[in-house]
Amino acid sequence: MRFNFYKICFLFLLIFSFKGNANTLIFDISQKQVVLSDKKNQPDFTIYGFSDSKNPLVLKIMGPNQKVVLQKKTKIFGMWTWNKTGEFSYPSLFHYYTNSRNNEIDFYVKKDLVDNIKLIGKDDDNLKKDLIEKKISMNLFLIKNDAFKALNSSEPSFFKIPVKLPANTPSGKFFVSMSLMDKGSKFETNKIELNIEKPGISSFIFKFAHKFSFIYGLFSAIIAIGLGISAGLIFKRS
Amino acid sequence: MTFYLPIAEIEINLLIILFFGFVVGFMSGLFGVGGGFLMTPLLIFMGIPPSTAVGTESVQILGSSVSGAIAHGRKKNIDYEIGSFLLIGGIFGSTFGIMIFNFLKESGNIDLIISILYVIFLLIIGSLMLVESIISLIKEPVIYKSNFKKKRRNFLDYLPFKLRFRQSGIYISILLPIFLGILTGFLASLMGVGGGFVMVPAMIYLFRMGTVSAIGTSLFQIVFVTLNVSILQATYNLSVDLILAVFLLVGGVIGAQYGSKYTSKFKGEHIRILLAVIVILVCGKMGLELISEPTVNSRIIIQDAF
Repeated sequence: MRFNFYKICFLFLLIFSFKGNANTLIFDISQKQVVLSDKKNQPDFTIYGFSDSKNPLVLKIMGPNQKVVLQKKTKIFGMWTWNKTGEFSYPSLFHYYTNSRNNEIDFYVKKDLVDNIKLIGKDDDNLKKDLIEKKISMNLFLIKNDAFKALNSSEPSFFKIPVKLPANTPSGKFFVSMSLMDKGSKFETNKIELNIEKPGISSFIFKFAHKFSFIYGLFSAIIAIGLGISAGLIFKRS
Repeated sequence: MTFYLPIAEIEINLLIILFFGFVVGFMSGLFGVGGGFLMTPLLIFMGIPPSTAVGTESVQILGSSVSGAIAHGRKKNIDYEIGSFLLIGGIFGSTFGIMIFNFLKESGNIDLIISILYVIFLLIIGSLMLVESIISLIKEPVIYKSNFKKKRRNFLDYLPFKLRFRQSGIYISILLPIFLGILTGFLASLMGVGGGFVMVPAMIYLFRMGTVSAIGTSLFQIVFVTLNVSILQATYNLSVDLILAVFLLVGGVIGAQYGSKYTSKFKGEHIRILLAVIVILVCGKMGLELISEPTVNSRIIIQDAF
């Protein structure tokens, strides 16, 4: 908490040194090492910033790259089955937070989403669209308009954006950047690196199962045998 | 008590998992069946991906059958000689099954195959059970004097590599338990079942083993085959969700204890009719899901997470 307070003070000092410039945009993150919270109403981290511009602002959070296969249901002999439609390489998570809602922002966000998806093999915009729709349904792609909150009503230029990431967010290195739209041109800040970790046993099991799958299988079997024998003994006694 | 299942990749209330584990465990105890063929479809209905349901269920079956196998071992109900041949076949069949599973998973067809296999098997088992129990309810009880050993010889008696199994007092070809092991191992890897529902009747009617010995020997085989399936599913298909398995196991073990207490309160035929109806209902629901318009028509599979 004290760390955050000093950070915000530093941010304010930095901002006042820029006061003379037009279209100032500056921001920072409450913490660079984030452990995802399982409490639904508690933000995982907060973005604090300042902008004296009246132009639209977009905050972009980008997850680590992933290679995925998109499957769609198709009908074979009257039965529905999954069919591989495309292979992609793209950032696992894209969250956009904007300070308003307009066509310019909408166009920028959608273009950015499509541009960042790389199809392995033949390029196909329909497949990209399918993937974006799927990721939106999983909350891994999110566009949240009017998400900027004023820190103080007397100083509306100072803002904060509480960020809550979904439970299926992958862990790893994330990048946060902000863009300022100005009549068709775009100014994007430097990317700030953020390390996201998932808490507790779920994350541990996920990593364990993917990195040491044989040992994980053996461990699962040992746990099951142990539980089975223990249950047998407990109920035999009772 | 919502929890994010790391391998199934869905958020689920663990109390629901415990409850369903208990319900299927209760039915296992009541009906005297393993419960894998009821639990796997139930997990699929709850939204767990079929491949994860199958992989996880093998871990649960391993846990729930191990204490039974030990108990039968202590009572000398296991014919280790036949069990060894069943096991050889089981390991071979399950390993081959995992390779097929992996191939089908890569091509995206594993869910379809699992559902089709379930519809076929549940339909056969449910119908046979229903017909048999209705006939035995209608007919007067007949005391059979027939002895399996005095029955007419059939083609199975002419198979080569015959061996005398002293504990069970039978003289059969070793190919029989090996093939039966291959079949059940294959089913275990593709359907997430122990295979007792195939093995026990086959051992009683084809091998002419005693019922108790058949149950004990099948449990012995199930333990080692599900151990093999669990490790291979986790290693090659990443389809074992340990958290899900643990909660199913806890619920299932408690449920089975309560279920077994109620067995004596019902007539055998009534219990079998009830189980047959449940099996046919599950089969109907699975069949319906195969042909009805899907609510979710796309999904993504992560190839490399790091």
